[in-house]
Amino acid sequence: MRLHGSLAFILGMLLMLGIGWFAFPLALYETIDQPLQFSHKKHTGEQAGMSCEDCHGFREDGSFCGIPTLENCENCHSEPQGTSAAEKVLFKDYISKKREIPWLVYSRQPENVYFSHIQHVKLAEIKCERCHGPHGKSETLPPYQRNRISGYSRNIWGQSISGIPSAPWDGMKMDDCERCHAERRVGASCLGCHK
Amino acid sequence: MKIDRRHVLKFLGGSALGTALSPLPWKVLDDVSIWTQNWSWIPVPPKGETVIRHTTCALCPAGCGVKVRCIGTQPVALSGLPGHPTSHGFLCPGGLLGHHLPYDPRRITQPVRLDSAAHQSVSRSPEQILSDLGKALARLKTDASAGRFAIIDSLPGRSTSLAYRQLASQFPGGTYIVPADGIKKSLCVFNGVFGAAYPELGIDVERAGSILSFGADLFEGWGTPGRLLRKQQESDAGLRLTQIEPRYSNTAAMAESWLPIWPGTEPILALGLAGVIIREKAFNPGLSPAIDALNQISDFRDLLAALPPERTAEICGISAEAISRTAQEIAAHPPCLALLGGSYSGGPFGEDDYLSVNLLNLLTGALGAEGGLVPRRALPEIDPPVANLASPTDLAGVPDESIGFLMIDGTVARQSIPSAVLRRKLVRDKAVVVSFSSVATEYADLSHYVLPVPVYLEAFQEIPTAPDFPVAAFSFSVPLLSPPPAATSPVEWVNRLAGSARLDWAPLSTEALAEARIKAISGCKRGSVYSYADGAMKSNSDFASAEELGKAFRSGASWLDSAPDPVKPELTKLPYFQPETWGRLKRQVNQRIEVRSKPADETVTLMPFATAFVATASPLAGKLTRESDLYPRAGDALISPSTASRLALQEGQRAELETGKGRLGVRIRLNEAAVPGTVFVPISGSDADPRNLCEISEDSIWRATPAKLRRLDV
Amino acid sequence: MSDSMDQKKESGRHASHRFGMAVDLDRCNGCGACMLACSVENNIAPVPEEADDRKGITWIRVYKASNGAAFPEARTVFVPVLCQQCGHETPCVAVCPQQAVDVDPETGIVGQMPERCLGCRYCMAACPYHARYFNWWDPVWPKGLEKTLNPAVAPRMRGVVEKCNLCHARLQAAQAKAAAEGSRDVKADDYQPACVEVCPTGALTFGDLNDPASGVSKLARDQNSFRLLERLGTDPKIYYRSKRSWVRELAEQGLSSRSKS
Repeated sequence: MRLHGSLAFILGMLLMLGIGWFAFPLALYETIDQPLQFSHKKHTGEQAGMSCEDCHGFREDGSFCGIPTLENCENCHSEPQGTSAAEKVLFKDYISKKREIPWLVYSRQPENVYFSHIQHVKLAEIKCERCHGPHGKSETLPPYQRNRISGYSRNIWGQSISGIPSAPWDGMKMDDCERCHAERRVGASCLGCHK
Repeated sequence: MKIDRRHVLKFLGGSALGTALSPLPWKVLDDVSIWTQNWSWIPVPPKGETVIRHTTCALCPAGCGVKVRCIGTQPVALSGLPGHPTSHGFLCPGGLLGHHLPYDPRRITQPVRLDSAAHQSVSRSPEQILSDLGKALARLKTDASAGRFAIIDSLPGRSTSLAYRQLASQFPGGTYIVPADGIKKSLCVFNGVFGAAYPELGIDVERAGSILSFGADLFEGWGTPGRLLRKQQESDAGLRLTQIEPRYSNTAAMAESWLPIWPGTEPILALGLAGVIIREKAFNPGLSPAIDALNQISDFRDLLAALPPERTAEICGISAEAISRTAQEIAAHPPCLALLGGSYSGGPFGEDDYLSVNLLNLLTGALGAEGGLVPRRALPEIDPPVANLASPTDLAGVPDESIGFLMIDGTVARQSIPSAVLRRKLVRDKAVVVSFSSVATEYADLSHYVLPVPVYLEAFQEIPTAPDFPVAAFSFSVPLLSPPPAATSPVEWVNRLAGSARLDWAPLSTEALAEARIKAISGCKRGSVYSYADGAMKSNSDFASAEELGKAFRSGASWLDSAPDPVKPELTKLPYFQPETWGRLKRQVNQRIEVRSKPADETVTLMPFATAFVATASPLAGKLTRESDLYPRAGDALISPSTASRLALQEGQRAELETGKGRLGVRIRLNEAAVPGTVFVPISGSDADPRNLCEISEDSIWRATPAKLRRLDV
Repeated sequence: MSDSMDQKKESGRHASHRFGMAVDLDRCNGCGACMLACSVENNIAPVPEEADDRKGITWIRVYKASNGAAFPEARTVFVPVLCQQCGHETPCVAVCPQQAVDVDPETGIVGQMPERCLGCRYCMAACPYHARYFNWWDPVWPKGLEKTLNPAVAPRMRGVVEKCNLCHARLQAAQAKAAAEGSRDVKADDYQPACVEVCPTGALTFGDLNDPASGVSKLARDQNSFRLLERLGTDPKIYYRSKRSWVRELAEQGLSSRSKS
């Protein structure tokens, strides 16, 4: 009897552990493709040789450009530069229609978050990879995994469902920011990072 | 083995523990809490690059310089432009919310026909409306009983005004009406005194020694507010302002002294002060011959003798000591500017009022002197598109029940003429009224049709010289947004109406007229241009061509004429030296004294007034009225506590105002700073406008009206 | 001085400021431009028609007070009141159960976090200056007006308290501009709250109270300057000034003699 009871208990536990750790993450995130398979490697590699700041740069007033607008792409791509399928989509759906590309932004934060790129990049001299990972070397854009409940990208919580970061760039939640701020002993007031 | 309840419970228990040890409940909780903080109906401001652009505010004749902060192409915040030569960084509450105007929920985006009883738009297509209007216009030419064509231009002197004048000239008896501007009207007395080269006068407040203001709302929107505010900030002595008005307005609160005068007795005070100045020989010495000439006129001598300080004080309700003190102040700090011109709500004063007050300007030597009333050139003119354009007419000069087709340009966002005044001029039951407007409310109770026009920040518009400015000035209000498709410029509407009425009409274009103006300014080779973007002041002659000047204007710039050399005024032309003037003034004064000496009974004197600055339609304007107590609300009636107790009224009570013209429900607000016996009611652009209750005199003036005020016991 | 400079280099902190304001009550003409500029800058929503001044949201609000005299000696003073940025035992910080408000040691600004607030309104009771406002309703702007919102400030939902933070978004913009020039120090000219920027009479002066040479410090030391409810010991950073003794006396008497209209 007792053995059977324990079995039921263990079965229940294992079942929910399995669901919680494996099935749940699969169901929680919805995978959406980016509108265009942009290859960072093509642009940062030997051929074009651009750096992060060439497209993701700063304006004179210190504000960050973020994801570049179509105008930025058109600086070079006013005419086809290569033969890839992605570039064909660029011309067919966007440049010819003068339509901005609806990129899905991995690092999109809630409205009340204020992050000043220039203070981190220029004053604190933090490299892009520290928070964004080796994104600049990627051949294709990773799939955008949208959390079905909160609406934010999986990159914010972190890839691992446990919430324990596997790399410095895994996770962009408040505690991830707080960790680094505590290490460097900087800026602890709330409005420093909120608006 | 039997599976019984205990197994199920153990299974559930294990599941619960497993769930707790898995991330599922914790992550779901976390995500749900994020979800609850990101409701889809909380607006998310659009992101983009911050771009600074510039324009000139078009909401009132002052034409302040505006710095526009845009996100991409969308204006999100307006502020003043420090360094701007006329506005000096000032932008009023109305101007600050100007970027909300294109989104006013009451915005008219299609031509509409209003059912004036229900204020609802009757469904009629734009083509049908144009055709209806064309027919009505054509009828004016053939049917004499249909009445005359008239058009009201709220901001005359623009190149658009030429289109209006041309349209009016197409009809027999066509009238081009210019509503009386308080400041311009107050200076009418001196028209032509500086000769043909200087047809206008400016007010040199910057160098005035002191200011005597008879009800002029100097800190609440008078003229170009930035000028006064800068002088007040920069000068240690301030403006040396004596504010003379029945209500302790915000201007009176900022003045060095406030004289609480009984409404209607302003000219008497002015004459009383003039008497003191002449008796004490405190007038400008250069005017001795003029004073001698005046003293030859017996009516003049009698009038001034009848108003010694004690008598004046008695009539006006202020102390004799205050009168003497004021006269001393005028003499001690020349030049003294005497300004009569209340807020636009009260409308213009009468001719005789202006005569009396401007006598002070004459006596103190303010006329033609630095710091006084200075000669001003007109704006460089454009060649009229056709000959025989209709000339500007005063509303008072239009006979009652004579207008068969009235067009109203309400570009300046103030309903400066009460509907009752206009209604009198319309042919009964037959007149057609069309207004150019972006919202339905302005003159809505009068209009049959509204034709949509682009609003501020969408419209390319001329801003001619502000009425108070000492030199001619000009700028463009530059569009930063696109208007709704059917909202067309007034000039284009005029073209379409002329076409629909099959008039003999050469189409005009806003662009071509603007180019003509730029060319005229470039061609006069005078003055300098202030560019908003870099704050640089460049001489007009340094611009290589009219195109280059045009480019500067289109990115935000202001042209100022150079100051003329001093000109001596031709005093002999002035009405003061004609004996008939003084006979008339004597009669008017006696009339006022008679009205004043009537015993105080149940009546109060109704005084409409405008709240400071331009009314604005933005929902944020409610911060000043509903969400705080700063500005009075529509329907408030301010009365002094002593009057309230006489009439057994209390704060917050509902009451009714009644005059010969009708009734109005109001809410009592006690205000210690209102002259006892008066009731001040703020104007509004609606049926509840107190001006509809006012007696309107022969010359279209509405002012202090006797009224009954009683409690509403409901 | 040199010690704190070394500390600055080590920890990467910005220099320590105490941002404050001086209000000249003899210059305020009650136009309300400050209230409107504040609402535009901070995306403050208009409240529904049925609301009155008890439920309005006006981070800065201009009150009218009178000298209590009868006609014709009645006189008015206009008093703009905003969050006084209390420096000592800040009442709202002390009572908040959520730690949704804090005092930034680097700027002295008392920062309210609406996203953390649970809406208990304890802070509204604690604030002696009535400078905190509750969102009784979700923000509703007429169609199209949401395009004119300022992206530098996040709109709030209903059920949370908000208040003036000396236009912190503008401080952030000034810091970004300084960073673009490689500096950690904000230039005084680059940071000015919206109310100060638009005040037409120059009644509002803003600056760093820690800088004895700044305009605001000089005005704060003026003999005619006072602070509201000074006896409570909140050490506010907003100084008021008037040459008129009746105005100064009125402030000392506290709230009871403020008239309604």
